[in-house]
Amino acid sequence: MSKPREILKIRDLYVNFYTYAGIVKAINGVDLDVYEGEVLGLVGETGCGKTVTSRAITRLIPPPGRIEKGEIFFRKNGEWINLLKLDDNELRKIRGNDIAYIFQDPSSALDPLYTTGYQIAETMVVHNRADWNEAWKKAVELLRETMIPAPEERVKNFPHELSGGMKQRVVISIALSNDPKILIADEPTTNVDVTIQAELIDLLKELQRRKGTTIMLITHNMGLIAEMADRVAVMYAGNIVEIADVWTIFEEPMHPYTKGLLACVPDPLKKIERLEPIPGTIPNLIYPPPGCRFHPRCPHAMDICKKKRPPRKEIAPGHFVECWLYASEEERKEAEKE
Amino acid sequence: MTKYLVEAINLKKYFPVRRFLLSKDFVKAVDGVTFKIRKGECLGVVGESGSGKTTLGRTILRLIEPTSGDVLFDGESILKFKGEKLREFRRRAQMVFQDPFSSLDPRMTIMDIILEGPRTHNMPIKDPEEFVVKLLETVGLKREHLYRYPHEFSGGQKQRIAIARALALNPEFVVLDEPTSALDVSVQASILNMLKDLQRKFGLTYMFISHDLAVVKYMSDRIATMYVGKFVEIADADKIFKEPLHPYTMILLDALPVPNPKITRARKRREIIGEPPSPIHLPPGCRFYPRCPYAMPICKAKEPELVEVERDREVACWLYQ
Amino acid sequence: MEISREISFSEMGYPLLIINVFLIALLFLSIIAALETSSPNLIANCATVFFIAPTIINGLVGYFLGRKGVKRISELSIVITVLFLLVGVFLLYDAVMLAYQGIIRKPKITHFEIALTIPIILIIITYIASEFCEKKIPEIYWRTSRVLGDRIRGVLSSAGLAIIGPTGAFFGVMKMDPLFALFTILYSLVELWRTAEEIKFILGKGRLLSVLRETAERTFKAVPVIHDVKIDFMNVSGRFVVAQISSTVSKFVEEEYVEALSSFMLTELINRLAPIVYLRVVIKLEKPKALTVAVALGDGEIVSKFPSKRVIIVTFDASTREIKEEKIIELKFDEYEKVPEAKAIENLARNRVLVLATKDISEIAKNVARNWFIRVIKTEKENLKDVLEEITQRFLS
Repeated sequence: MSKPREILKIRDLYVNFYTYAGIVKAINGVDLDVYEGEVLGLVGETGCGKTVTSRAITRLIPPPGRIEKGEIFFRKNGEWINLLKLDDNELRKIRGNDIAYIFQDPSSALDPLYTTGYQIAETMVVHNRADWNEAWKKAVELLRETMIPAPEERVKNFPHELSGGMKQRVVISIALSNDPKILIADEPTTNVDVTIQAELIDLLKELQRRKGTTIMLITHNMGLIAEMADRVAVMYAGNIVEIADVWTIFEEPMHPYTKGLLACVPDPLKKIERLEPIPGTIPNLIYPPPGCRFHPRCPHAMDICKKKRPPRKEIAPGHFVECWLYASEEERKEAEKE
Repeated sequence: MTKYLVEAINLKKYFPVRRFLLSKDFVKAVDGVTFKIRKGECLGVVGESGSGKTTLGRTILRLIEPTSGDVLFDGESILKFKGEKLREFRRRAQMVFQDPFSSLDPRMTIMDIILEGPRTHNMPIKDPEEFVVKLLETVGLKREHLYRYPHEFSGGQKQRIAIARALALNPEFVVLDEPTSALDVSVQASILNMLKDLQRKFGLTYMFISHDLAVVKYMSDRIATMYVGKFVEIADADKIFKEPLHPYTMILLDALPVPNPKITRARKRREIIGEPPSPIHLPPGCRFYPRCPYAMPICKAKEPELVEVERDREVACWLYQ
Repeated sequence: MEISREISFSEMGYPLLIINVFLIALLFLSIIAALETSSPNLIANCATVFFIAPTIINGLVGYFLGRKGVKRISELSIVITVLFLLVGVFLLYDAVMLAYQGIIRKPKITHFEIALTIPIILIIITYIASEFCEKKIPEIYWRTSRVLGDRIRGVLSSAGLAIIGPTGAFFGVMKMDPLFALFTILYSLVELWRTAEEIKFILGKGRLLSVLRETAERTFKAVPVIHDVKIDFMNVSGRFVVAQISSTVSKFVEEEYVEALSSFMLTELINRLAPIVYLRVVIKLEKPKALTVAVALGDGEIVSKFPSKRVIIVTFDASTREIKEEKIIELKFDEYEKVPEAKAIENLARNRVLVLATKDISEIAKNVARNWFIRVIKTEKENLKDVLEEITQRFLS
């Protein structure tokens, strides 16, 4: 069996937002690899930076946001290119084509004045993948693939004539119309009923299995992660604090934040006496805490945590943690000297 | 004092929708709901969008006038309440809403927001400041928050304030409509814990409405599943998860993502077909018929009643009748 | 033995009668207003009432003639519609001429007391009729009351428009009568078009009826206990459907379930044939020509409890008791199946089983069998031969 190859590499990403209240240091040095064909879950609570990270990949950060530093390498046709260094035209060819997005609210992703068929076909035509005739036919096929009943009829519908679940399927069709290498799904099922969510999950899994698309799933829903993700990256206040495969994250979480997060998610199949909330609140990223940004809420905070940001350690193959608890003695001594 | 604090009897709420000229359609948001809640119990109501659970919450408190049916509070019909009696009911039964951002008046200080209820009800309070501080401390806030404005607080804190406001009147029954849906997981956990503690401490009776089954299970003693305006199953919280009887409950549980990859990936589920019917012109028979994997001829013809099939377990389904 | 259920007089016949009485009042008053006032507004209004009348009348005609099973209902409804349409067109032409005359020469409106009061009375009557429609016809026939109500409410618009011109004329602006008549005439054309569409609908009834027939037959044939479905009579009267359906049902169905069965058939049809004004369902209980039974089997030929691993399905000729067909079905289920017994019974129903013999059966399976109209007998007999013997004894003697 061949070793999975990386398709996306994020290195040392820093993103700031220049607001009237001050500079929000939203992304604080993020390193992340995405492997081809996997479902990578990016999980965290509000303000952790998961959405900003995903948008930074194709430079969808509007002012007052600015990508300060970092590199994002994407493997296109066997070659590595730095997305942050591409000029706008080149980047536009990749966005919606090689890398596609699905967002939370399907209603705002769809133009109410055009039929669904038109919108699906448009993505293909704009990227020169097909002419209008072929694109229209392909649109029907794509809708059929997303298991929408009577796709020939649905193609002629306007978005407001469809239910929430169907709209989300249309959005998925649009995203998949150009056979993207990477599909970034940002909270795709948050606004949707549980039964529709289940259908969409099954759909995405099926499509992924068939087409081998890499999916980056961004959510705060641990249940969704358990269902879909192969690997999980946990984010807190602009940092990735832990990366591991999904089984490990749930069974042997290492970072105190990951542990805290899992302890406060109600598992309906277990008898829980009490949920364990994480004490404290999410930090203000204009004046973020020094050192490890989690230290004010961490039950194991040490002196070094308040001074320096912990290094990333690979404590088991594929299992990365950024925490002073897992740094070696020498590393700690080195850090304390400075 | 009766054993059942709250009782709903064939409660209905229809909303008229104008077509054109005189013609009207009716959205049957709540279409005949009957249940009882014991003192000190938490009844969870679970349903998806369009199930009518929010309307039910408001109708139970008579924030919306029911179209027909009755609600008994401590044995008395609240529909007959007027003047003083009605005011007393409003004091004893409170509501916490879903959206903390819009349920607090942005132009009032926390002190005023919490005292608004007691002032309206002419509750005699010796030392208003101390009274409010005590309440704030009960919900995990501090004295220094007294004279601040809502916009200075986070979502979780606002929800705490909303809960303190509900508690200011010393209620017996609180309807909680998706109180933590807008909040992060860790904040949600602390608010839920607090609600549980308050329930124990003050002997409160809760009706907890949510679409999130996991949260409902954590909070409730009994759970009712609601589908397009009607209860389809009511049972003990543990039992309903281990052994759901109504096909809709089965589907809900199957669809629920569980934060445990071992379980959630091993299970296979049946394909869920269709969408809920329009609550305007429901076809005759069981309303779940088009999506039910076990549909039988009788399901199309007659609507099954909610009947007790075991002790403390009610289901509306022809599989059990 | 025969049982029949129909849409009753109090449910449909009576409301239709009353609504037609309202219609007569509307017609009468509109005609008087048209004749007495010579106002193009009132004449156009009268035309509108003539345009909407056939829908209402056809409803009534459909109910009473449908009850009698008269064959040529749709032809009659076309005649009625065309007659009223012609009168309406004639009136409308008259209104157009008068309006034209009134604009270029002199408006000729007279009897203001009639011109101003009758539209108001028309509005009141229409309001009452509309409320009657929505409230007195049971919810299950909402499509019918929707069709009736929508047409009657047309008079609201028409009368509302028709009063404006005369009011202006009353206050001295004589030209307002013929000028505003243009609007009233335009609205009348809308109703004319709707009525013309109805004629088109009646003429195209063939396709609709064949679809309905097929649907009705398919729905009922799926229930094993219903052997045969015959559409005695299905026709349209204007926009409405009338039907009489008879079915033969196996005599083995227990009495109480015949009630449930007729209820099922009636509601199914009402839901699918809407908008409907008359429906009759006749159930004839007969001995079936063949009896299909299922026996729950464990290993080999030993009778077991249900649900079992396998089931043998045997079809007997009812008179000769000869075995016509025999097959064995494995009952297998998906691993996520939570109520396998329900699926098992459904499987039997698809194989048109009328009787299930088993050693023991769960409560749920019993309920499901009953709801599929399948009879369940508990047997003490151990092997297949004995059970079949028992069944033949019980059901075929």
